[in-house]
Amino acid sequence: MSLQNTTEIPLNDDALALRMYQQLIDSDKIIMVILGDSSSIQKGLILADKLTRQITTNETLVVMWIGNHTTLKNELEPILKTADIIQVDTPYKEIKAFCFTKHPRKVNTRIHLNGSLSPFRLTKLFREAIKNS
Amino acid sequence: MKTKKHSIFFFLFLIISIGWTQNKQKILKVSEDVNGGVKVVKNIVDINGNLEVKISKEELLKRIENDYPSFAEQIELKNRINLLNKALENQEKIYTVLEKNIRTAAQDKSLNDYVFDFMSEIEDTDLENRYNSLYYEWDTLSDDNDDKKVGYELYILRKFNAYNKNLGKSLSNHTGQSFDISILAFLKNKQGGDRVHIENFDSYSEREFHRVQRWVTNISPEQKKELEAIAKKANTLNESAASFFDSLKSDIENYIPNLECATSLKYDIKTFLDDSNVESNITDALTKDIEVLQKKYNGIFDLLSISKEDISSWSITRPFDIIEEVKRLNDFKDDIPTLISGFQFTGLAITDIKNEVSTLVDKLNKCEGEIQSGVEYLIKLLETLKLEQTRYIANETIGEEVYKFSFDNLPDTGYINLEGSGKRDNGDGLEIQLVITPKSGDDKVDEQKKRILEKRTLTMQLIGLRSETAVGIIMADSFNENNFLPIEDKRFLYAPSAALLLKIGSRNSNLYNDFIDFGFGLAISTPDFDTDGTPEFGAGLMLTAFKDILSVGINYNVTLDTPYWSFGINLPFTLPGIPINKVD
Repeated sequence: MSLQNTTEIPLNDDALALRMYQQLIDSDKIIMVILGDSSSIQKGLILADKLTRQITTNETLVVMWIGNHTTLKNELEPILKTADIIQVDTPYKEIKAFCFTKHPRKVNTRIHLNGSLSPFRLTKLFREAIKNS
Repeated sequence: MKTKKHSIFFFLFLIISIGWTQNKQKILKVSEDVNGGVKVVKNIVDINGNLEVKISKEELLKRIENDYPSFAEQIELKNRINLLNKALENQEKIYTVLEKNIRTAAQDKSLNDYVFDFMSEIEDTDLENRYNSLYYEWDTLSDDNDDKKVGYELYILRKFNAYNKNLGKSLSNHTGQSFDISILAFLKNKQGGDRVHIENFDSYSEREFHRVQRWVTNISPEQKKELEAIAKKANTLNESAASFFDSLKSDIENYIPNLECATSLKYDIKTFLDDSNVESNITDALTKDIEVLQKKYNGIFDLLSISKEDISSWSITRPFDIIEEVKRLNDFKDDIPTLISGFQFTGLAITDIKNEVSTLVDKLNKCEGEIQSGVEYLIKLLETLKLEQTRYIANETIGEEVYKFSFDNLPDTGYINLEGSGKRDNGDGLEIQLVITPKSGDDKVDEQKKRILEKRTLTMQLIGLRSETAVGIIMADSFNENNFLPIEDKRFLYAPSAALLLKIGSRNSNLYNDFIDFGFGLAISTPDFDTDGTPEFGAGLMLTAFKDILSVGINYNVTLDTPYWSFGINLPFTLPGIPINKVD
């Protein structure tokens, strides 16, 4: 698949993964994080990548794809906990997608494992991050 | 066995839970201004309170969809149009910014906000699915297509706008059943009831301003009169218990004076029939006539007694039944003059008993006249009741003063100022009805088809502390009898009493307000322990319960310098032989 604005985080090199993550976080872009590797997630990933170019905005939108819930867990889980996205009934492994605002980085909502990575949901996630940036 | 027990508990829990859930799903929520805040009302409201009636449109829609599916289609269409109108509120602004190739930071922010608001409005509705479909529709268009060139968000907005216009057309062509929604409020009391104005929902003018006084320190003129009557009665009671029963009997007899003739007429007829001259000359036809008359007068006597008895207690229940009783009585008496004429005609034809017949006819006519005037008096009395009844029935219709709303322009809140709803008493009811009325083809409301969607019945009560005056009769027993000569063989003496009581109105318990109703306060009474005919002055503390029916007091006779205790049972009705009655 051809992804133009997506950074694929390596799953077998933690140091590299962290470096790539940090590089993106340090940038001035709105970052959507997609977690998992199922076929529906892959479809959603392609859609999110397309939306980064289709949404009308002055901001730069990108996607960070992490194929599992283990890599960068130590970095992401605390941020999601602070944002009250991870709760007793919604552990980290049940998060499918979320979006970082620009600096200072914040997360507002997420798409649950049972939710759909539809054009509406992904657009709204991007729009919400832009609004809160 | 254990399983059985558990099952019973489970079902009980289920029933209670279902009841609770259903109870929660009310369309009308009534709140009251309490100390600057708003408190949701369960069943009792302050009699001088300001109420807010809120309508849950969500629950209303559910109820209409469930109970009247034929109305739901129209609501569905209107709801969707409303939703779209709201979502597309800023579409012109979005178009303007989207069409710009270069946007300033502020323009870009506005655009994002507008689009985000639009998306928030349609989120979790079926319009969200339409959005997704439209995206894929746009995505499949070739890059050469003009629609593709405008960007998917603009494309989706335009499509939504077109869809909204189509829905508007569908609504105007809608042929299904349409309806109006109204809210009505009634004051319900012993006299029937009256309309209560709800701000935003009707154009009724408020009734006379009436504030139920919280601190009452004077006894009313009626109570004063009653107190005087009690004092007289207490004197009689103390003189002789036996003569009291006789005086009470004669009171009751005097209450129905115009029935005396019907009673004495029985003897007159008997005397007439027993007369030897009549006996030897009477014909079968005359005997028949006199028997018919006798039956008629007996019937009149019974009907009049029942009506009068009912009227004496009509304030308790069913006032309108009495109207029917008197109507029956009026019809029943109508043929008496004809019967008397018939008797007179037959009787006077027998020359030998002409005088006896004339005497009896005079008495019959006189009594007929008394009954006639008695019934007329009753009818006059009941005309007032009849007016109340007519007003009561008229109140049940919606009336032109009540605003009629469709689902989309229905106000969220109505306001009731109870002080502007006329005369009220503690315990009176306030009924709020949410009604739905189908419209006929020519858009007119058909009141006959009015249906009540929800009815809330509230009780009005002075909440919190209040004072009340009460008069009644007490039975007093002195602790020592050194300073006067007591009546032999009599432990208790009757005495009139008046009290200023402190009471509490509950916001949560009708049982307390309507039945238990404790009162505590100061009482004065005028016993006559030395029976010299001059009442003494006594003062003390009194505790009352059950609407002042029961009272207990500890007092001091200031005149004779002796303490005494007292009790009173002031039942809300009178019976021959019971020397007590209800206090106000």
